[in-house]
Amino acid sequence: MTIKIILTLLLGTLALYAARNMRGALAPIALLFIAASLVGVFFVWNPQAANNVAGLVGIGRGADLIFYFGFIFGLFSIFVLHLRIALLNRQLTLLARHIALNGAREHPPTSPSPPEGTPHAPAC
Amino acid sequence: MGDRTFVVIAAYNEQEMIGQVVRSVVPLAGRVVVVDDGSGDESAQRAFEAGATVLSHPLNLGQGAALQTGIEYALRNGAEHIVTFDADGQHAPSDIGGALEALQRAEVDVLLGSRFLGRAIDMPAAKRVVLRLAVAFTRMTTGLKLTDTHNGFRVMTRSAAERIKLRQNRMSHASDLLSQIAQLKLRYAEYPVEVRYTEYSRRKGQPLTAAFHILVDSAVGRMLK
Repeated sequence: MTIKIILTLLLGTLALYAARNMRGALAPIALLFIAASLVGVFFVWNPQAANNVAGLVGIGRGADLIFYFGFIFGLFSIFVLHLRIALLNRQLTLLARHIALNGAREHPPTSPSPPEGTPHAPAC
Repeated sequence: MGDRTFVVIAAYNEQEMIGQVVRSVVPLAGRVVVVDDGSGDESAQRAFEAGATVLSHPLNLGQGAALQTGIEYALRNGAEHIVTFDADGQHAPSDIGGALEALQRAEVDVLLGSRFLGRAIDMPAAKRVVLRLAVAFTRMTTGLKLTDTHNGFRVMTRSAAERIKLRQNRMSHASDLLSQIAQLKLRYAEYPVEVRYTEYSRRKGQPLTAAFHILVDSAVGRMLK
């Protein structure tokens, strides 16, 4: 019974956190987390239901079903986070570029000397 | 070659060499632009004292991001030709003049330096193998027939620089650039250059495992397009 309460509290906290952040581009991801948390709570209190669903898809035990889905969900989350970080990195790059361009320490243009040596022909 | 030729150098913790590299290039270009990519040393100050215009990223973003910043600065300031050049002293400044003339004579948009058409001095054998594999990979993915795909020495015209946008911040920018040359159907040619591997350049260069990161970055970059 104790583990059921702990799992319910953890999943409930996750669902609440996702609900609070359900805005803009993150909304579909938040919704997915809420749905996964609620399904998790349902299976915690109805383990037989997990066994039944597992049987339907050809998996022996409900616990295995949850493990497989948990693994896939974890991988998916890492992938989404990776893309999200890459996107943030792009925004950070634009910001850093803006700062660099506005803060240029300029040297006046120089007059270049004529080229040295014999030029090579390009090799296409 | 003229006043509107900009040499763009990306530098990250290059205080040992950057002054010397800038001084060797200043007489050959209208403007030398060093993009200090969040260095924790004196790179920016030494480049400025040597005669470069210095742009400073507030944090380290990678060579690709630094080059794109330098290219944007050059375009805003009227560049007609942009040369990219490494900060570690691997490239020969004497190649710049000939490359600019070759670009104009061959009427191409981008001239790509090739150490395999030119000279690779003291190149480690493992590096040679990885670079050959990169050439084969590039040929497979872009169709570009090149002999050297990750050479930091390049010359591009203003119109090419306006169209190319380096989106890969780190070392994958070299592959990104080649993909864009292929996609944009830019005219390109290779040019024989000298690349000298010194103890310093080996220490500063990419480890061979970087090839794996380049593949991952390229794949993620394509997803984000």
